[in-house]
Amino acid sequence: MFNKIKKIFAILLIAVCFASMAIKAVGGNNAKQITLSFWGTNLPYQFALEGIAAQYNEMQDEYEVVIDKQDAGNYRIWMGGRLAGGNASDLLATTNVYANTDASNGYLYDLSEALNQPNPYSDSGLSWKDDFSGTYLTQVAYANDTSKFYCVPTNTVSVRFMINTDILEQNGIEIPTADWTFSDYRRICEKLENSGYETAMEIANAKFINYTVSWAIDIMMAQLKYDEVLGYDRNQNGQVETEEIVRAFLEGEDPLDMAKDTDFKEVMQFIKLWSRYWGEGFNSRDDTSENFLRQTVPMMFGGSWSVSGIELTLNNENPEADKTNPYKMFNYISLPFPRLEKEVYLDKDTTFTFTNLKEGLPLQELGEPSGCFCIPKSTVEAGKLEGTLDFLRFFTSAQAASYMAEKAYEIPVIKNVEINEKMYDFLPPENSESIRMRFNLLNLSDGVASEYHFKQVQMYLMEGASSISLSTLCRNVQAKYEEVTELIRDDNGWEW
Amino acid sequence: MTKEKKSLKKINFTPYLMILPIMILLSIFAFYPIALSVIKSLFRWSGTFGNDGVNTFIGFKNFIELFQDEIFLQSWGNTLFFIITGSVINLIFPFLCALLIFSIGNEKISYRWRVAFVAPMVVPSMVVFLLWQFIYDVDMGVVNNLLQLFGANKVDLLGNPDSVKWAIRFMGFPWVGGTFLLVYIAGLSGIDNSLREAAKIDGASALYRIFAIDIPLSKPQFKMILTLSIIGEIQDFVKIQTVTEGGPGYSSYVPGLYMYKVAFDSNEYGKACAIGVTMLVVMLFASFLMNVLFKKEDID
Repeated sequence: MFNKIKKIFAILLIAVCFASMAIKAVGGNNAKQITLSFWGTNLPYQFALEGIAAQYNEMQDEYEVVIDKQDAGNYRIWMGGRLAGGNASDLLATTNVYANTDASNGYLYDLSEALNQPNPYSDSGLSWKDDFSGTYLTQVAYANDTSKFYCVPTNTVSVRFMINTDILEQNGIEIPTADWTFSDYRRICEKLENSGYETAMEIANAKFINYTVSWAIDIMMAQLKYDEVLGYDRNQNGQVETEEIVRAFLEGEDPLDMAKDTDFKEVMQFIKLWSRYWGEGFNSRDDTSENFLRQTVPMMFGGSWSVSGIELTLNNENPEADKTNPYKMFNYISLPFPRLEKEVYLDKDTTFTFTNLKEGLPLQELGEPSGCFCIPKSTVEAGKLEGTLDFLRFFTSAQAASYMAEKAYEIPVIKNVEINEKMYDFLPPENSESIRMRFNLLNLSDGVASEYHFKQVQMYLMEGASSISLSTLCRNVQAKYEEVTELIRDDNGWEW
Repeated sequence: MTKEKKSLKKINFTPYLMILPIMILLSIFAFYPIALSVIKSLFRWSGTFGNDGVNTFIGFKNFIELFQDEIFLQSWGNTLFFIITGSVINLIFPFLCALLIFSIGNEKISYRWRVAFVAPMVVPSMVVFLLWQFIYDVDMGVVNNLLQLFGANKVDLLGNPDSVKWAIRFMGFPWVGGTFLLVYIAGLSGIDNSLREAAKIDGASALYRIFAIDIPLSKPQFKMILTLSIIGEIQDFVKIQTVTEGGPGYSSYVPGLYMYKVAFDSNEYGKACAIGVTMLVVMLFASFLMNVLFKKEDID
């Protein structure tokens, strides 16, 4: 009897498997359904995406947008496999670096023509391209041909110092404002340390030196090399593209040389001195947000992407959850990276001098495009281009951007978007410009090379026998820059 | 009918036909990728088929670059550390545990212990790695909390180049659960019990019986586990990617991680294939070496 039941159960299971495969095979070709795939663990972002899809589906009945969340760890492999196999989702979350690679492999649809047309969901009367503010769109142009676009951004990420104002007030420390200097910041740290805080400020992602620290390096380098970077921007479009970076390193009598560059050396020396106060834990879990939330660390340097987690935790109004969670509400502000001065106060015994620093220059920290989406060529072949493009236009409208800012704390890349007070702090302050050039190999589309850069910095910041010297760091970074830029030049056949 | 035809008639084709489907699948999913990797290791290849992307024959350039690449050489040095320590651990600890379980006279209790040691295998390895990362955490980890309890300073085990490899190796302590334990128990069960009984009658102590009977007659298991350990240590990079990303610096970098990053971060599939080929060669050599070291007659 039992065996019979087992048999029936097994047959049923197999039948269900086959039926679901058949339904998937038939349903998979449904031209009306548009699948958007993305990766991530950020729940507010997922809910906001679903909200945008729901709004779009309600607005029209020709297409149905379906949100498909993929595993963050394996997304790139999943995405690459699907693109190569010609069965990718209709709309794919991507990054500028991934899009460059996938475009050169011929997997993506070129959006440049569509971007020249007006966005029907915008009231601006401008082309879709011109609805983007600053250089957010041009920053994602195809590296090998800047007239082409294989992805569009839907938001931007930026970094800020998040400061627990309650702790500062309790300790009689004046709340700083957006025009604060690095010396101001360090004096606040000292007061907090004297009040018993072991670490006054933590840096998110410091453990792998691959993101937040690289932002800090870029912001400082942008201030120090302001005039030179203007010179690298040969087409004067407000950013230094791949070809311009390659030229800066390889062309002319006085090319950029990190092994000799005084500014780069000074920034690295300064970072090493600063890192003494960061708190321990290379390769530890990144618990910066956690420590900030628990108020054991009064300040954190992190990205806009941390805000949703902080807000979600602090605004948790569930009384049952409040009984067990260790967090208490507190007020905080987000400030831009403090300005460097020629003489920076680090502690009572240490002052650092930046030889070439010019004070009073615009801040450069507008942020970089994120939340990029691309359309695979397979979408075009499946006859879904029109619908997918239409949704992408809606997704980049002011209405959708405002919704994403409200629900997922995303910073918009579209002009004239109303956003909440918390995210307003992340908008570029007055007298600021976009970062024209990132001073790491990240922007040259070579993951292993950029990792090499970060690991070199990591080894330089270490203490002990495994640490490398400043000259070794600069020499190694320059050697990698030359290797990578020469390869890019040769691959593209660039001659100047 | 010729002699050859007669002998062909004698061959029973049924087993070959039955194994054919699996051989076809193996050829598609195992042999073909290996052959493709060997061929593509001689190319600068962006992973595409057809006319798109980069696909240029460059001979042995990938290999030459790799053997001049300090990171690649350091990653093999790190792997050697993991091979040696991993092999020692896998040879000793599961075997000791297997001996203890095997020595339990009551079959029911012995079975329960086996289940208890094998049950943790159902926990996904990723969970285990993240758990260990928590344990080592500088601010909230158990290790540092215990140290502080005794007035000692915090230690950054995963962030220090001197300790990171040992910290990674220590993950999974006490290293006794899982497949290797079952292999040893199966091996010990396979030994004729009359040998142990005879030794016992002759007055051999328990320790002497282990060294004179159990260890020598478990050689096939040792051989298998040593081979699997070496192959496993060369292939494994997931835990390193999860807890240190090969850092600090390149202190815990391994070839598998390098291959993964070169392929999926840099899109240099040709170079990644070359790394894969070197790993394959080392693994084949290690297997050959094991066969030489543990000759069949010795085992018999």
